[in-house]
Amino acid sequence: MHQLGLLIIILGVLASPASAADSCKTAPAAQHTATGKHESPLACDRLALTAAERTRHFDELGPRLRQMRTGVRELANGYEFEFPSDAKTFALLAEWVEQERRCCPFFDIDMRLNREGGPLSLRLTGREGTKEFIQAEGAEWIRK
Amino acid sequence: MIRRVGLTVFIVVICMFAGGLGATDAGVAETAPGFVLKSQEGKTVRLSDYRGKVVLLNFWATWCGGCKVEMPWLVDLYRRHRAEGLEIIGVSMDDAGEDVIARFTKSKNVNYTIVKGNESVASAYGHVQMLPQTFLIGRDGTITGHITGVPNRRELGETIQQLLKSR
Repeated sequence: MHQLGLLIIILGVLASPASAADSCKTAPAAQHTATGKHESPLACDRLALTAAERTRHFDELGPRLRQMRTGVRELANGYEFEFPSDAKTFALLAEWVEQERRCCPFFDIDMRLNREGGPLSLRLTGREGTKEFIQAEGAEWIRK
Repeated sequence: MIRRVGLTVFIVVICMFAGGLGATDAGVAETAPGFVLKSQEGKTVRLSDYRGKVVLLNFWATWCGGCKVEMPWLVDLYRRHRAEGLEIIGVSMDDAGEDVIARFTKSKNVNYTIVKGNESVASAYGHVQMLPQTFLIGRDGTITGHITGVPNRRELGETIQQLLKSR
């Protein structure tokens, strides 16, 4: 009898937060697809970069890379940018990409060095909404 | 017998603590945590002053791409529903100075209240690691919705309309 009472108390306590959570319709920070694959929200992680890294990423690397960009191509789910394939540009782009993937984990990022010394390309793609995200992030990036 | 009662009390206390953590799964309390912050114009903004209104509390930053996507939607929402009792408070989580924030909001024609956030208010709302992040607060001061990331514009508009109808 005592054990039954204990069980009821435990179940009651455990059940209460579920109802509280239901009344507060909180959207999960991360979503899962039908296949159970993790999907980050279309959001930026404000703690991913230090203040110095953020300055470097947004105020230095971004503007410099936009100036170096030699082409832009619109894709169905994002954009492809073309850069000269010299070592300096590659290093700058790699640094930007490493920071971007920490800040915006929802991006698919492809860096490609084309054969025969061809251009360096960067693809930023992702699920629905990603393209609009890039468009809003900076018209300078996609201006042809 | 005494040991058994002690064990029962111990288990119940542990369950209560576990329940508490579950209730604040996303770090969000049901009643919107109060705050006092300064607006761009230097006015003191207290959440409690908005009791009786529907409040859309939006955490954002000037460098945040998703925030730039939704900002025009918030401007439009505020323009259309302000008279019905909607208030929008944009809490900037920028490291940048107020002049940078002011220039940015001016360029986006922001028509709602902008305040400078801090870690204290972020912590009260579950640390707000991802931006944008939006909390919908009903007229009674309780949090009725929480969106991490760029919301679905249509759904957000419908939810706001429903909240505005409730008295």
